[in-house]
Amino acid sequence: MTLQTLSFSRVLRLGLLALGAAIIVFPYVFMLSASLKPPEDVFSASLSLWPQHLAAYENFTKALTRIPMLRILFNGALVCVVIVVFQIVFALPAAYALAKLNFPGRGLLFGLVMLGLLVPIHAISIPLYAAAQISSLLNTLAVLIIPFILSVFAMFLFRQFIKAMPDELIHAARMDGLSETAIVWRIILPNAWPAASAFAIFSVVAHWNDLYWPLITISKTQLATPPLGLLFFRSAEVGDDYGALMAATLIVTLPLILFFLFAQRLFIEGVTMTGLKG
Amino acid sequence: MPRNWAARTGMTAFDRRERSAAWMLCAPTALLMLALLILPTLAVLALSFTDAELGVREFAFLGLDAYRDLFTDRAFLGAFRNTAVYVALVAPASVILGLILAMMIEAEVRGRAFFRSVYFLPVVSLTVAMASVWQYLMHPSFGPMNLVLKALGLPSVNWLGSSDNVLVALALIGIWQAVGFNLVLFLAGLTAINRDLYAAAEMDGVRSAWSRFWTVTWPMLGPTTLFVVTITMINAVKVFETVATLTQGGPSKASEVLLYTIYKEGFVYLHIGVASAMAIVFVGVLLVLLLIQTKVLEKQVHYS
Amino acid sequence: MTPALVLRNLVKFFGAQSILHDISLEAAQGELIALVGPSGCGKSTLLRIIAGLERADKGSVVLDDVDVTDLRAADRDMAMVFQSYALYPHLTARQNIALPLAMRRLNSFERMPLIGGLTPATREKRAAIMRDVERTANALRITELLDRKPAQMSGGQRQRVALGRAVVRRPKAFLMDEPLSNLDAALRVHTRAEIVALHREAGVVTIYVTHDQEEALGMADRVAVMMGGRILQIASPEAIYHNPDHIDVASFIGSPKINLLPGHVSDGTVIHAGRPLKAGLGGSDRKVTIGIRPEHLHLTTDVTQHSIAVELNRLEFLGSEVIAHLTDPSDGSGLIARLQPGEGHTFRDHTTLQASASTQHVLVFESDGGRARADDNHGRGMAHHAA
Repeated sequence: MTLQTLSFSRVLRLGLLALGAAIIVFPYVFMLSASLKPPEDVFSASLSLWPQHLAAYENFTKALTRIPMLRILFNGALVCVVIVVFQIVFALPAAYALAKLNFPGRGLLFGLVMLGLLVPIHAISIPLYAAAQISSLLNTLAVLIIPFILSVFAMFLFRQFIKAMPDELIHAARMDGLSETAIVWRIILPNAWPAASAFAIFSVVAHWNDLYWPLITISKTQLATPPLGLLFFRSAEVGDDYGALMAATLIVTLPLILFFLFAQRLFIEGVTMTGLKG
Repeated sequence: MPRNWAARTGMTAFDRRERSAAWMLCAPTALLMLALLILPTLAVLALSFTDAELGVREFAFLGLDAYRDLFTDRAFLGAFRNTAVYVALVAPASVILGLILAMMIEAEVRGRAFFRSVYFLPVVSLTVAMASVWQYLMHPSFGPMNLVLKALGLPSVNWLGSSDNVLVALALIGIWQAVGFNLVLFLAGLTAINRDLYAAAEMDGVRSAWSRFWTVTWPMLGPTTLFVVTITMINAVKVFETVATLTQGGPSKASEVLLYTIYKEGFVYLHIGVASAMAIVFVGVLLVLLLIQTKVLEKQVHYS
Repeated sequence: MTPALVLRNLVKFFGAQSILHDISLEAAQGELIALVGPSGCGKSTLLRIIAGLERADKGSVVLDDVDVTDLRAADRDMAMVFQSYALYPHLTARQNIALPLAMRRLNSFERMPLIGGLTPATREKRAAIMRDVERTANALRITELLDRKPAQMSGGQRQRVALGRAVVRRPKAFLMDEPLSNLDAALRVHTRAEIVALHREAGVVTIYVTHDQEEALGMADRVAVMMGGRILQIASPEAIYHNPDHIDVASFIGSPKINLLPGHVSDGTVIHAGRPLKAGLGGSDRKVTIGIRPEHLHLTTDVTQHSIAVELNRLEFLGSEVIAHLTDPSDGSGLIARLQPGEGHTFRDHTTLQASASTQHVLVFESDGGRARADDNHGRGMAHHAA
């Protein structure tokens, strides 16, 4: 393709895209700028991005110490990773069975999967909470993980993906003497890598972001996940110390953004794939 | 001969092996489904017909009256209305913006990956965190948004603090976060369109960009559009983080949305019976949305 | 009579790489020219430039005496049939075929689905369009398919609808980009004849791009062999086959591939492995390559004046012919000869035979690939290359 010329319509288009990009990015810019400002600068109602007095040290210290920020980030990461691993471990074999094996009850199981897609965790939070309370699991990391181990979305996504895989692959494995379980882990998982990574990204983003469930099950700050931790920070802060708040939001937002920037292709392909299968 | 034997016994050893292997593979998931999905759903359904409260032993069975009371409760209807307004603001805007931006980015050869990633940033940013940032941006006196308005000579707006504006403010945040996701999906749909179709349209005399859009782009984007609209609406109905962080349903319940109301009823006021009924209605809304879009529209949209 | 389509010195670059190097061609009214060559030779690009879907960096395209080089495709009044058919999936066959007519005869208001049909004038125009569509459908025998969508048709049916869409407009030129590649072999032979019949009936110049040399030879009035962005030769199928100008043309055209043997010219005689094959060539003593088509290679057990020794590896019985796989002992290379069904009974594997060809079938190529012609050899029919 020849180089695009700088025609009027192209300039217009680029201009509009740049304007849109600026609107998208403007919260981040201000977040960064405010995190460096002391309260007086924040309240001074000026649009200048660079602070008069640098208060970065104070703001970030407050952000890290008012609540156990690093511990909270760790909680979030741990919970997300453990959830994803369990979700894949449980969903993949069932998805394989649904996609490639014939057995009575297959239709029923798949129907339940579709039903499950409809019911978000929020709807069934009450009984799950009651169960957690009864088994004294409130205020533990376990309660943050257990309800999410089942992911019908993973089952659905993997099933669609595995269905598209050639049957010959599985026949060859059977002829080589592999058991069905071995087929799942030795053959299906390596070949379903695109679907698995796409799903992992979805799951991590969703659970990293989740406020509802931690809000109702966790009250101890050390066990909070980032969204909840931030909420605690907001209530711990006296007055409108936006500087410190912005510092806290920056710290909490950075991990996933960095991960995204490193693995951009993975994210985009993941979203695209769910779109094509959905 | 194996075939005759199968005909006589009704099932070959192969089938039996396949069946037991399948059950074994599904067993753990099935158990999880029972414990984490089916039983809780049934429990919620059961609770919805009662006036149970957490911590209180006695409760009465209300039957369908529970739902009747719900639909006459002004607070609940208000939450319903607020959610509907929010969805009506966020869904069309983020879908249309996503499409327009995707078409512009698609026409660009060089900057595609850059713009795509920039617009996608809000999707991977912590909602609670970015909501806090928007709160700062929307502050009535020193928030940059009002400062920009003042600099342009326009009156400043009380974004989150006024019951007239709060849903709009929340919707702005919602659109900001959703556009990037829709954009990526539309971009994928656009690049999947067979280039020959555009060439054929040109040969057929389709000259203007507008005609090209209606003749090729829009019809071929059908499935993608359906998916994007569905996902966007469902996510909009599930709005919670921004409300819980910024407004807690206020001012004066102007931003009480369905999920927040369920949360409050169930976990703050501990009226788990009422909250369960609300949760069932909530699922009902999602179900209706899904049904409308898959059954009615899908036929018109899938050509293969 | 003025030619229908003239291409003058077309050049196209992709970055620094040259895709088309100075292409010139003249096509007469009603002529079917096949543009044939291996993948990547630039034939599809050339077709798209003729259509107006891409612009050349230099050169001009003239259609019916009108310079269309600066016109966009929609204004050139040519029709194109794509390899992927490019039918609009959301429209029925009827609507697909009607679209080009609707775009040209109705303005944007009249084209609107409901309101457009309100005035009697528009209704008449639409009815006229539908009549044309049905006439074309009848000619192509796809009338029963008119209300189906592409997804509900087989490959062959879709292809006909694509042809219908091109034909209904009565354009000034047809451009076809490998329209038969996606069909299975049996259907291809059938449809080939139909396309030629359609072309004859329309009487309009057609440029037909293909990588299948058999298709090109069978369908075209003239064949243009393209390689590496250049037209090596453009001539009638017979001339291309029997009188190629270049070794690449000889190699590409003909199946099984032409046998190529190394040789040299000595005193005007072409010699291979010490045996003289052809006399009467001018010029100095030099190295050459000798080309003999498999069907021209005669196998005998007796030595003749111009024969060379070959070793028979095996005979393949293919029903309508026999293929002999041979080895040239002088350099170990493989040769192929085509025999009639009755021939070859007496030959035994792994024996030495004598292979010969009559003089006019011994093609000689210089080291630069160009054809060396003997003074008395004018080839079969016309050996002219078009301008």
